[in-house]
Amino acid sequence: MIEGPLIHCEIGSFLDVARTVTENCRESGFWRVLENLTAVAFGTALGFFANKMHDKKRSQIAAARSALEVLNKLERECYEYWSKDYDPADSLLCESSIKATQQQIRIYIMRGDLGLSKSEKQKLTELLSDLYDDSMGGEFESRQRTASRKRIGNIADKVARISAILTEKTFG
Amino acid sequence: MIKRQSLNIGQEFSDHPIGRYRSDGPSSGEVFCEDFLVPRLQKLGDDEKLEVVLDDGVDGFGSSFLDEAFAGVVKKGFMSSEELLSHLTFRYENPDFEFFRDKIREYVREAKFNSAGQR
Repeated sequence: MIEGPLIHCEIGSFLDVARTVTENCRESGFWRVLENLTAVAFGTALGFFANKMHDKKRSQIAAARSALEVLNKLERECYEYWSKDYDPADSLLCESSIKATQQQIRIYIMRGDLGLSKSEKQKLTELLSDLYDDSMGGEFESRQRTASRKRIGNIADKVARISAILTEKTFG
Repeated sequence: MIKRQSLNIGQEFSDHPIGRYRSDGPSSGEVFCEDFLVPRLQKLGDDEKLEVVLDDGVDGFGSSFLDEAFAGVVKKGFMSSEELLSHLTFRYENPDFEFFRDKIREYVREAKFNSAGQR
C-alpha cells in the first residue's frame, strides 16, 4: 500500500522530466530552425543587394565607355570640320553630324547613370557647354568659315578634360 | 496680368535653323534676328512678353545661330541685354532644350550693346 503512491510519484516525476526534455528539444529545434531561416534570408538578401550593386556598377562602367566613344567620335568630326575652309560639298554633312553627336553626348552624360558625383556632374555640365561653343560657335554653318587652329586647340582641351572624368568612371 | 505674344521658331521661321549671317541663307540667325525677332519685340506693349517656342519641329540649334539670332538684338543696338531678357520667355517640351534656353540667356547677358561690326 505504501509502494503504490511511491511508484506513482516516481512515474509522475519521470513524466515531468520527459515533458521538460521534450519541450526543451522542441524549443531548441524551433530556435535552430528560426536561426537557420534567418541566416538563409539574410544571406539571400545580402546576395541580392550585392548582385544588384554589382550590376549597377557594371552598367555605369558600360555607360561611361559608351559616352567616351561618342565623345571621341565628336572630336574626330570637329577636327575634320575645323581643319578645312567652308566647302559646299561636305560642310553640310559634317555640320549635321556634329549637331547630332553633340546632342547625343549631352544626353549620355546629363541623363545617363554614370555614377557621377554632384561636383563631377557640375564640372561636366560646364565643360559640355564650353565644348558646344567651341565646336558649333563662331562661323559654324557659315559660308564665311575658315579653318581654325585655335578652335581645334580649344576643342582638344575640352575633350581631354571631359575624357579624364569619364575614363576614371570606366575603372569601376 | 502679364500678356504674352508667341513666336514659334519651327512653325513661323524655319524647322531647320542654320547659319549665322544673312548670306548663309534664309534660315540664318541674322535673318531671324532682324526679320522676325526684332519686329515682334518692337510691337510689344510695356506689360507684354514674347514667348519663344523653341522645340516645335526643330531638332536643335548651332551656337552660331543662337548667338546671332538673340545676342544680335543687343549687338546691333536694338535693346540692352537687361531689356531683352525682361521681354523674353521660352517654351519647350523636350527637356534637352533647356540647354539651348540657358545658352540663349548666356549669349544675351554677355553681348555688348551696339558692338556689331566688330567681328
